[in-house]
Amino acid sequence: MRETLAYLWHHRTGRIGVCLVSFMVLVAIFAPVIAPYGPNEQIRGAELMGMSWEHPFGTDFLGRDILSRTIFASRISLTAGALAVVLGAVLGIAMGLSAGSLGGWTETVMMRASDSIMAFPAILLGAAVVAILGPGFVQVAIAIAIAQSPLFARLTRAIALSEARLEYVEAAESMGATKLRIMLFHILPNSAGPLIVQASLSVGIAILLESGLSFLGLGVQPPTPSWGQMLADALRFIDFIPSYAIFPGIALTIVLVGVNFIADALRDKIDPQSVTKGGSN
Amino acid sequence: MLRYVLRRIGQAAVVIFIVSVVVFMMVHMVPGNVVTVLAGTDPTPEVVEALTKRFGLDQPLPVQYAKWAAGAIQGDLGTSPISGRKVSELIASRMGNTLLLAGAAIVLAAVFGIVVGVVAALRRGGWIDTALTGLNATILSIPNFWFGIIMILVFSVWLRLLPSGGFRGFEREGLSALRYLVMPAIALSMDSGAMIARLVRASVLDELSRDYVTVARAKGVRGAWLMRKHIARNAAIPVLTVLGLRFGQMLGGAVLIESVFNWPGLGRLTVEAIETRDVVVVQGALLYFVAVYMLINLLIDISYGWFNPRVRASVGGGE
Repeated sequence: MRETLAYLWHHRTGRIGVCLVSFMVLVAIFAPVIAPYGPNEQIRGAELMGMSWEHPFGTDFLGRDILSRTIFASRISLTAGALAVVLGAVLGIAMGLSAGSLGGWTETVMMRASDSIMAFPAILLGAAVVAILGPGFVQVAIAIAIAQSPLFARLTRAIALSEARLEYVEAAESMGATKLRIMLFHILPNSAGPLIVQASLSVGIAILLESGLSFLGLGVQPPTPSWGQMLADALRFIDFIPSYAIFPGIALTIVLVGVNFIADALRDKIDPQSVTKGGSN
Repeated sequence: MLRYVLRRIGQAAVVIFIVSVVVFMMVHMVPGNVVTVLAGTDPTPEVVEALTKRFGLDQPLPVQYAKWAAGAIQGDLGTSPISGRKVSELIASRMGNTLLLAGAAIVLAAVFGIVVGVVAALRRGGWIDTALTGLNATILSIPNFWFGIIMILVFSVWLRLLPSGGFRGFEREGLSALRYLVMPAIALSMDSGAMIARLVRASVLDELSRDYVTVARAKGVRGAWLMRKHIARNAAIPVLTVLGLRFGQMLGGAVLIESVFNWPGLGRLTVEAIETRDVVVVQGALLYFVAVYMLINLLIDISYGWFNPRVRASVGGGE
């Protein structure tokens, strides 16, 4: 962990990524301290105002301070992104490990299942899952996790297959370790690197998907603010308060640039693609 | 080769079968079905029963699935109980718009990606390369639907140059309908363009370091000729693959851009159907997207096998 952070800090764009993401995480944690108003505080007579000293980003159609809402919305974006990736990784790794270790029809079922998930456009799959589960924070995270799981499943299977040929696995087998044991305690720890890179790539995609679903009205429900939902409002009132569209989008972009820079830096170190290429047949 | 093609078609068929079952089940899990939508707020039991019968919802699920799947194979995806139109007609009526948008975006992405990628590769390490690579990284991180909103802000609200959304087709407006296409196409092409640029830069650099380039140079082949006749051919394969895949995704994945610009395409159709709980349309549209996506993937894979015997061998023996 410390080693990875040190590596990122010495990587040119990695350092920028760490700074941007840390900044946003701090904003999310200290939102109540930084934000000048509450996220749902309605200031009467101040509806749809442009930029001013009292409201640097203006106010929305209910007279709520856009700066404060942008700040509070960071919480949804970051936590939904993180939760979705954790869930997706657990699901995908389980699929990949069982496919790689058990082989046979388990492998066929798992791999065709992940092919099937990947055949859907991610945002529509997310929208359909949310339509079943109902809108809300956890539901959105689950929807995104399902869309992300095949990436982890494929990568894990490829690693499992290539690692299974190595001597340490043979050694463990000869000492009578079960397949499950070898998978969980020998192969998985050795494949942490590529999985971490995949996870860092997935965080960016997950945050983007969350904002997209929120934009379509399928994310967290009002009054809880999220950037996607704010952008949908901004588009509706774009003739009245043009500045509304700018700030939630910039906040979202800052997070995405940060996360993607970190992911790119990690990928320079360990390329999951190279593992997949070497592993599949 | 034939064995390889048959095998890939078999795999695609399995995936489409799974997807069709999943889509069918998924849509039946959505709370509230056609009956509750059509019967209104306080229906009598007779009305509910009649509607349930009319849509065949009283039959067991496997029977319902078999009927739906049999129709789907023949191109009949059912009739929307809400708009009363056939799903296949609804899809056909929107498909032209989606193809137009996706086609325009892919062309923009290809032009942008190839120009930027080649320039960056030829000026490797220089400030132009650094600037272009930085630009790419930034574009890849900007959410394209937000960029679309910002374009509306600048070009529609402030400068009043372009319409903020909608599209009524060439029949009604002639060539001036193109004005509606400009912003959505740019917004949709952005991340693909940046991705292609990255890929082109990497493949050109890769090819430049090959022996055949050194040989050609030694023989006195000059820059532009070398690029066109030797490097472009070899670097084109991965680029065409990614363009094909992105096009396949755009055919179903342009939901957000279509929403921002109120573009009457397939993505919008699906989202509207989800909003109105129009189950039949959601089923049909999802199945359609997956089928198109699988088809494009299949074509790409087969062309790979055609060009590269090693791919044939590995898929034939492995998976």
